[in-house]
Amino acid sequence: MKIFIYKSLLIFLFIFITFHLTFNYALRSIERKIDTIGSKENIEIFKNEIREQIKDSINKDEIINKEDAILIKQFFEKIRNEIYKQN
Amino acid sequence: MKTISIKLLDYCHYIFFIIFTIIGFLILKDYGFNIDETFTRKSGLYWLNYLADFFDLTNISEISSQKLNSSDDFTIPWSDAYGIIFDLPAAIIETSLSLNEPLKIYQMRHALTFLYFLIGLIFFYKILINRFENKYLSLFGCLLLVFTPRIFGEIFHNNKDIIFLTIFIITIYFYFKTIDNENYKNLILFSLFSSIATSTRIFGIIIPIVFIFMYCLSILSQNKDLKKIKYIFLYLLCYFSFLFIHWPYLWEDPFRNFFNYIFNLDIFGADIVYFFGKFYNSALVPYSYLPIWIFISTPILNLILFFFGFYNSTKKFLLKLYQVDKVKVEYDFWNNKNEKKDFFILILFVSYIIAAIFLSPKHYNGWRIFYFFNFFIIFYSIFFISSFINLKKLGKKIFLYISLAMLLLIINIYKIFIYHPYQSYYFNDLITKKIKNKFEVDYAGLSGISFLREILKEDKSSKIKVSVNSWYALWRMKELLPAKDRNRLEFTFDDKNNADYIYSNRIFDVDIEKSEKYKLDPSFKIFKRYIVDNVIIYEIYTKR
Repeated sequence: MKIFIYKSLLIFLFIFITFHLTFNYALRSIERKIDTIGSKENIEIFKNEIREQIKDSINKDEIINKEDAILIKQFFEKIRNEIYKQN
Repeated sequence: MKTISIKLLDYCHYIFFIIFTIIGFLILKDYGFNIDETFTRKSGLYWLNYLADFFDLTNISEISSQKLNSSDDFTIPWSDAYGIIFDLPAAIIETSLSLNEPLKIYQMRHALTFLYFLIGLIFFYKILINRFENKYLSLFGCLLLVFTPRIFGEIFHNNKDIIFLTIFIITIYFYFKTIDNENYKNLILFSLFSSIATSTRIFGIIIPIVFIFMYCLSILSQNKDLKKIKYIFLYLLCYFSFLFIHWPYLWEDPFRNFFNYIFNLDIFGADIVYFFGKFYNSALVPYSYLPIWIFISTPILNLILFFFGFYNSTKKFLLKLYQVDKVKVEYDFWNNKNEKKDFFILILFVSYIIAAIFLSPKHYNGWRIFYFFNFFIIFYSIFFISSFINLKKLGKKIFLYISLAMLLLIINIYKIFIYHPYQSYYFNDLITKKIKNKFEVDYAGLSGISFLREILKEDKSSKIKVSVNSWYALWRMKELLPAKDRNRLEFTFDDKNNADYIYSNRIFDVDIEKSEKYKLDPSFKIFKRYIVDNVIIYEIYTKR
């Protein structure tokens, strides 16, 4: 009986360490990546990138092509009509 | 002449302790101020005030309240959950001696930290004597501990981790005494120090768990030990009673506060740590974090001896597992008291390693919260030397081994000398110069006061504008300067570009590779770098 207990304890320890070094190790790497993406430094980088893109767009003659412009116009009109209907 | 030498050898431990105490008090003032000290000082004053109110001591309450209100400039969340074993006595001394000058207050605290460590060192010597019954080996163990640069550098200012190391050592000593002589006195003292260890650092809670585990193993071997269950109940009763009595944090709502303490550990410490050239969320560091830190910042001599000692001890007990039921012995894992002590140390160490690597909710800068691992490192070092001496017929080779060990010990002493007073930032020679600077160095902020003193000495201007380009509360150091120097200093934290000098201890709260927070104006150039053993401690920038 006691050998069973000792072996169980050792096996439990082995499983615990293996779990951490395999599954939890991978999980932690993913968590770290998500944490890095959502970090305040990264958000700052994204914000700066968006700002740069907007600045570039302002200097261009056309931001969107004709087809997209018509599509967006129709989309806005549809939304506007639905809002009026509600009122 | 021979008699004098023999007498000197007989009293070598006394000589060592006296010399060490004298050296300690002589160099005490060289050390800078730990960034955590204002925090722990406030904790002490808070509890002194609480107790003074509780026991209706109006005078003390007024003084402590006054002091408490003037000590609030924290960049991390305040918590009243810290144990009081150091902070309260420090606050009592500060109040009763009417210490009001900040420099004097912190020097008193440094002296007290050193005294605590000294007590711990004496108990460490007693543990080694108790286990190995060899005065010279025990003394060598104390030398190894003292000449571990990171320990040597911390014993004057780290009033959390060094205090825990001390309490931890005393607790283990009383456990050994309990094994030697299972009487109520030893058991009660063991439970008392176990409870103090728990309130000082949460890791202390593992000691009672391992103690109970050891008892379960002894029952598995010998059913007659069931009769000793009264000792376990007494231990637990005393443990929880002492925990409650000595820790006022638990007085109002013991269970809720205790669980709050356990489950809110992640509010302390920095949010990010710099490790191997990368910034990590301190709750998501790689599993290699602690082993690598230990490997690169522990002296090579200690590492070699530890690995052999730990290997020998583990092998010995694993082999016993194969012999269970084959060889008839009283207990499965130990045949005598010394083996029981070794087994306890092994289980305790393995539990701590697993808890620290896999279960720790957060890692602080460096591995300072695990500095008590040095106890295990030295214990196994002495374990190895002891078994080596007992097993081998060394003959003339003994002088070779002693010379080699002494040479490596002298290297440690040399490192302590060149790092002074920054031994806390020691790295061993297993890593290159380039790698040394890929880790956090001055996280305790010891260099802040040295920087201010240096600038005030070198720059004779009537007004010196100073700023900081790292995550560091430099303003706390100002009050430690003489009044005439304080008046010459002007901090321009919100307007770095206007500063004459910018200080950086290279500790950051954001990833500086991505963030703009610590980007300096290009007109600022490095004016000076304080480098020890290729490790950059701090930098000064100026426009001039």
